[in-house]
Amino acid sequence: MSSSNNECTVEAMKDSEGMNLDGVYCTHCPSKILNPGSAAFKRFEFPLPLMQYKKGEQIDKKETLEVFWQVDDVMTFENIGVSHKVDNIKYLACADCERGPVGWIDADTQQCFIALDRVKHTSAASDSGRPRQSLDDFLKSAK
Amino acid sequence: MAKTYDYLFKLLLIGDSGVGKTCVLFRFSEDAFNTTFISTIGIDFKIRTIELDGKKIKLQIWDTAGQERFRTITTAYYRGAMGIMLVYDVTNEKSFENIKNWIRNIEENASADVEKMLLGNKCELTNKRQVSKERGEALAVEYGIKFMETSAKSSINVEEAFFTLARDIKAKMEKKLEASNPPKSGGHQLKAIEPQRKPPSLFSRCSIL
Repeated sequence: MSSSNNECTVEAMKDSEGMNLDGVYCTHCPSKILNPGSAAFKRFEFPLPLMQYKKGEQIDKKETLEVFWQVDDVMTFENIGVSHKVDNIKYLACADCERGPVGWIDADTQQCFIALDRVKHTSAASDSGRPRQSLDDFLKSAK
Repeated sequence: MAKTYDYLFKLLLIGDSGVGKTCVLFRFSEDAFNTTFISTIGIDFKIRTIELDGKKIKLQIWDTAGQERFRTITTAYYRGAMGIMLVYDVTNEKSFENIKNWIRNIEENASADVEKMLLGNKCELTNKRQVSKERGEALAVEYGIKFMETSAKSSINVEEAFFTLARDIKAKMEKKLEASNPPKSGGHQLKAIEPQRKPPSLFSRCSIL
């Protein structure tokens, strides 16, 4: 059983309105996927292709996941990669290292889902993600 | 839910096959690994969020998805594009010569006021270089556009290039907004509480918070 399926863990990840309490990040690089409070918690079963394959393993092998963050507009993401459409689904990957699928977009409803088990949750207090560069910082570093 | 950003810019990456357009789309390229489900089906577009002058800007960046192999890109792909990164490979003379053709293709298909920028990619491959930085600069001057040499592999100038293009689009947009909503003379009106006029239709998806 994955860690996110543990009831206590899941409850601790939601704010009072059922939204993500912490920022959502890629598990492999510092890329930020979602800001805190931007996605709604959902529980249902969905089979998602594996992130990694052993040599010779079938590329469409899937695992069934149960807990997700739902976002209604792809523009809500801070950074995300969106794949081409396969069977009415667009898969989501990290915008920086392209590891995924971390989730998917339903092409009919345009609703986006991120699997809790495939991302990292980091609170603002211990935010280790790279801060976004401001124009001033950029100009300073360009000098 | 309320929009949490100030502007949305649609950007395109254009240039010959193999110049590294797809690599320009990601920052931690050394981290990227080979055959996965995602690399098999391919990335359509990416969303990136940056901050400029305290404004939150969403960049929606589209790759050509191999259309460039046919040396032309359809009008549909250009629709709504506000910025275009023209990418060549400094180790490939042909890709540099083709930039002129790509600019012609853009002039025929894209909106006339689309902001363009020229990128000489793979600048880390000093031994294999065929196109000097000066030639890149000269071409950019000829077309009146900005120029940078980048290395997606060594993460040189990639982020800076996107910041530069985004800043130029933002400046152009704000100028347009100002022109369509000029500050009134006469001094009796409280300008600060006037509602902002809607931006032109091209920017209809952008909102000013």
